[in-house]
Amino acid sequence: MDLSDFEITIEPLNEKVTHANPSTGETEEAVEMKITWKHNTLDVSELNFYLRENHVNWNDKLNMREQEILNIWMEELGYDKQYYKISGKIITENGKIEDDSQVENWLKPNGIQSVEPTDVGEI
Amino acid sequence: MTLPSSGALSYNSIRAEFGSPSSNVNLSLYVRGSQYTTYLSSNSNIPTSATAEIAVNDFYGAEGGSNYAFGTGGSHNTGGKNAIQYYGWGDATGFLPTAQNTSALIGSLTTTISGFYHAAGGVLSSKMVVRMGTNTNQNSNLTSRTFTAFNTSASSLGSFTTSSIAGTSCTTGGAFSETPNSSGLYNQGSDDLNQGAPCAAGSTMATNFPTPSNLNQYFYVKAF
Repeated sequence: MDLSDFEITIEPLNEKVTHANPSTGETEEAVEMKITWKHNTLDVSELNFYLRENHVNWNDKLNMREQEILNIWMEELGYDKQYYKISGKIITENGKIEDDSQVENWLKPNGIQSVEPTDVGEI
Repeated sequence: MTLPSSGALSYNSIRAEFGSPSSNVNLSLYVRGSQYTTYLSSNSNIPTSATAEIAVNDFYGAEGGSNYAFGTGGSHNTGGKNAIQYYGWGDATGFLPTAQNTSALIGSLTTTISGFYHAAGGVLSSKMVVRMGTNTNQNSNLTSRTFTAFNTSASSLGSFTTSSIAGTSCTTGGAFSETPNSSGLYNQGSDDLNQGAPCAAGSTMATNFPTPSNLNQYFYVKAF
C-alpha cells in the first residue's frame, strides 16, 4: 500500500525561542515551527513535530520524524510490523520477492548484474 | 553548544532545539540517552533517568545529537576456520546491532554514518570500516579525517584517521582505488592498498583503531 498521498504543513508559532549561535556562542532568537503530517485519503492520525526555523539538522530531524509517522500509520491501518515494513513510502511485506533480480542476487551475490567485470592488470 | 549557556531558557526553546512529536513540553522526553538527547559531554548535567529530578537549568549549553552518529555496539565472531571478529554497530550483513542515529557531520559535510565497526581475522587484515552517505565519495572532508568514538561518560574509546588520499579522486589503484567508494563505504583495507598506487607518493597512511573491543558498548562518533 502506498502512503505517499499526504501533505506537510509548516506553521510558525507565536513565541520566540532562543539558541546559541554555534560560531559565536551568542544567544539568538528564532521562530519555533509546528510541522504537521496529514494524510489526504486514509483515516489515520494527523501528527506533528516541533523544531525551530533554520535548525542545522532540520532535514534530518524531519526525515526521522516522517519515518516514525509512516510506521505509526502502518500500524494504525492494521499492518503488523513483524511482517510488514515501510520501504520508501510504501508498505511492503518482509522478505517478499518482487522481481527475479533478488533471486539472482541471493544465488550469486557478486554476479555480473552487481559487479562489473574489470580488465586484468599487468604487474 | 546549541542552547544558551546562561540567561532565560524557556521550555519551548528546549523543544525547538531537540525536536518534539508533542505539543506538551515534557522534560522527561529529553533525559540523556533518549531518542532526542544523547550522551555528549555538553549534556552531562541532564539526568539519565526519567524518574530523576530534571530542571530547565540542566539544559544550559546542551546540544542535540544530530551531528553525531550513535548506537549501542556489539560483537560478533563468525566462527569456523578463518573466524572474523567484529566490534561496533551497523555492518551490512547484520551481524552487529544497527545505529540509533545515523545523521552526522564529517568535517563540514552533512551526511550519514550507518555503520562504524572494526573487523579482524580470517583473510582480512585488522581494519576499520565506516558506512556513510554517497556524498562522501571523492569528498575532501574524508581526507586525513579523524573519527573518535566516545562512551556514555563522554570519554574517548579511541580514534582512527583516514589517509591523505582517502576522499580524493585517485583512480590508479583499480577496484580499490577510491575510499569511500561511490556507495560511501570507507574500508581501511582499501585505503592501505592505495598507498602503493602512483598517486599515493608521499601520502600518509591511515591509522587503525587502537582497542577494537572498546566498540562493544554504547558509543557515539565525532568526525568534525
